[in-house]
This record gives sequence, structure tokens and C-alpha cells, in this order.
Amino acid sequence: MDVLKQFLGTTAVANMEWGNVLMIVVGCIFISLAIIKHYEPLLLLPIGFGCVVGNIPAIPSMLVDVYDEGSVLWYLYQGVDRGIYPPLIFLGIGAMTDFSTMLSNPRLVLLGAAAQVGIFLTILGALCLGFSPSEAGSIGIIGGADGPTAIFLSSQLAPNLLGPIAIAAYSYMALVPVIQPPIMKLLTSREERLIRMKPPRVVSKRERIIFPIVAFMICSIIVPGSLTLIAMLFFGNLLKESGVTERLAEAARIPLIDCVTILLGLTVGASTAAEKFITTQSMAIFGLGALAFAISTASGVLFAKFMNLFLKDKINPLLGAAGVSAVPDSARVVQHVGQEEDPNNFLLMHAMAPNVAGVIGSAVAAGVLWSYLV
Amino acid sequence: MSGLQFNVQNLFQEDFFEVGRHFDGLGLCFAGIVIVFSSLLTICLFISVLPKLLDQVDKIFPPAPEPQPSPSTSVSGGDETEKVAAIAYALRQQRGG
Repeated sequence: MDVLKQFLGTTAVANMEWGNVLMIVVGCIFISLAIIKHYEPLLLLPIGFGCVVGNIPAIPSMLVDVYDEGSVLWYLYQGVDRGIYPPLIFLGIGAMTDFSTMLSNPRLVLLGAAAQVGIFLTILGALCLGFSPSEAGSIGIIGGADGPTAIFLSSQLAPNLLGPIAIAAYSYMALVPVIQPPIMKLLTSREERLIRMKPPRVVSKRERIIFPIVAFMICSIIVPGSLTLIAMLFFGNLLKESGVTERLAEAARIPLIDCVTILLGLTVGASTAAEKFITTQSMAIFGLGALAFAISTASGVLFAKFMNLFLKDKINPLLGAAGVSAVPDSARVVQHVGQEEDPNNFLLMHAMAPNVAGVIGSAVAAGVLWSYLV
Repeated sequence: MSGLQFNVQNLFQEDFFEVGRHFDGLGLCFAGIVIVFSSLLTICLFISVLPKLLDQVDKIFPPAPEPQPSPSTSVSGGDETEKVAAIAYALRQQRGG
């Protein structure tokens, strides 16, 4: 009987706290959103399952969870903790990305820069709340709506906040279709949303090959701190565009990125153990992250309107919202909001230009913060 | 660096905007925005001049003309087309008859 009692004392039920139950419910909500609503299923499903995994209480003497040095999950988590996974994801993103629309309409690149304003304004808010500069920088980068970049920067600057920042970044990426449209509609008139863009010109293969090499040099010379992410992004793109390394490009854009996404999602989710995750700090991070994301969306839209003051061929200001680097979700949102006003207005292709520029912009912003705050 | 601790109460202090005074947050904010814009503006300018640059390069080093298909290939292609046409005609005759 004593053995049975002893065994029951080691079960998860005996060690479960209300926080663990809450996080398991959150994990199940993520899984449901992924399956039922199709919100970023490739990310939310592994993260959601990871949340459940990370909140099953283990026996203290056993090495099980991501924080137990030597456990299997701990080894897998090192890819997050040491910032290894994000550059690999950038390699895959580069191999998937077609920069043609951006090359055909260079002025849209600036919208990708404007949408990074939220990152820096949120840093001020985080500093005012009493976060340290390194922590504030890591929180601000959530506004870039780029999960890998947020993980990379917080692993370097504020590893103690990695879990909440990663969850906030990916949650807001998944919630792009919910967060962005009201802001876009609020800041634009119907006439502006009806603006049609000129069809893009044909971009030559030589331009597509030269671009990643030169753009990498420009970014890494101006901001050497962005080298890791930018190098992988443009290297992946060169593999794709060169036309002679199709096998490598294929490996980067499908098997590699899929494997890394699985490991990253699962371990980030598993790092949300209630005792480390449910804190006032985490709630503040979620609040500031939402603020950063909203400001980034608004600044992109407002900058497009500002550009229209000087341009002969007006830009549809909705495109500014695609400057956040949630690829391709924010571009899809632009298309959707645009078509609500005019079903024959196809903005998706044009929105991809600020969208991929936003990826570059958020990596550069991360490089700036890393250089300055490390 | 700031010597402050995270505290939600900071929100309700009278000198809310002075809390981050120990660290030059505004300086970082301004510098960061300028650097990001500079980087992407440089890329934007480069993309704008790239087609013109390539046109100039083409004038100096004209691209090699594309290889013409050899006569033997076209004859062979013609043979194949004729065979397919003949087979199709025969089948049509057979079905029609």
C-alpha cells in the first residue's frame, strides 16, 4: 500500500498546480486555433503541444523538461537558447522568397522600413515600465512580427524572457488577420483603399541574382550586427535564384525549415512552464508586444499616406500594413481588406514587396539593437 | 544599466516619462529608426539604378547571341511531326471507315 501511495505521489496529478492547468488549456486553445481556424498551423500546433508537454509536472529528481540540463528537451532547446534555429529558418525563408515584386517597385521598400518604427517606440514604453535596456530591446522586436528574429535577439540579450517573447511574437503573427484590419480601416479612407497599383515590370534573372549579393553587403556593412540573419536570408535566396543549386534551395525551403520549425515550435512551447511563464512580467510583455505590433502596422500605413503627398502614381496605403514581416499573412490581409472595397483590386502581389522588405528591416533592426545593447 | 526594476506601478508615477532617464532610450529610438531607414533606402536606390547599370554593362559587353537550333534538329522534328500526322490520319480513316 505504501508503494502505491508513493507512486501516486509521483504522478503529475499530485504535483499539478493551477498555473499548469491554465497553461495546458492555453496549449489546447493554440492547437484548436491551428486546426479549426487555420491560424498559422505550422507554428501554433507545435507550440500548443509544447505548452502541454512543458506543463506536465515531472518528478524533481528526473531530467525531463527543457530546463533540466542533460534532458532530451534541454538539448533540443539549445537551438533556441543559443540562437541557432532562427538563422536556419532565415535560410529557408530566403530560399522561398521571390524578391521580384520588390525589385520591380523599389519605393515600396521604404514601407518595410516604416513598419519597424513600432519596435523602437515600444522600447521606450518598456524602459518606462522599468525593464532593463536589453529586455526592452527584446520586447520591442516583437513589433517586427518576425518570430525567428524575436527569438534570436532575446536569446542574445534577454534569455530570461525568451519564453514569453517567443510566445507573444508567434501569437501576434498568428493573429495578424485579427489585429491588422481594424487599424488599416481606421487610418484610411474608402478612396484610398480603392487605389489600384500599376502592374509590376518584368525583372530579369541577372537582377534577381545580383540583388541578394549586393543587398547583403549593404546591410552587413551598415549594421554588422544583422550579419547572421541577413547572411542566411540572402544566401538562401541566392541558392534559389542562381539556378545552379536547385537541390540545395529545395533542401533549405522544405526539409530543413520544416525540421527546424518542428523543433523550435515544440521547445518554445515546452519552455512555458507555469512557474516561469505566468508572471506580471509576461503579461506586460504581451501588452507591450500588442502595442508594438499595432504601432508598426499604423506607422506603415501612415508612411504610405505620407509618400502619397509627393508621388504622382499613388500607393494604396493598405500596402503599408504589409511592412511588418509576417510573411505572407500580412500581405494576404492587405489583399483581403482591399477586396472588401473592390473585389477586382488585386493587391497581394504588390503587398509582397513591403512584406519581404519588412523581413530585411526587422533583421536590420535586430542587428542595431544587438550592437547597441549587448 | 537603468538601475530600475520592472514594476507596473511605474505606469502610474507622475514622472512616467522620466523613469527611463538613466538610459538614453530616445537616442536609441531615433538612431535605430534612422539606421533602418538608411539601410533600406540604400537598397531602394540600388534597386532603382540596377536596370540602368545592367543596360550600361550590356553596351560595353554585349550579351552573346542565343544559339540557333541546328538544321538537323528541325528536320528530325519535322519527321516526327509527319509521323504523328500520318498516324493520326490513319486512325481517323479507320474510325471513320
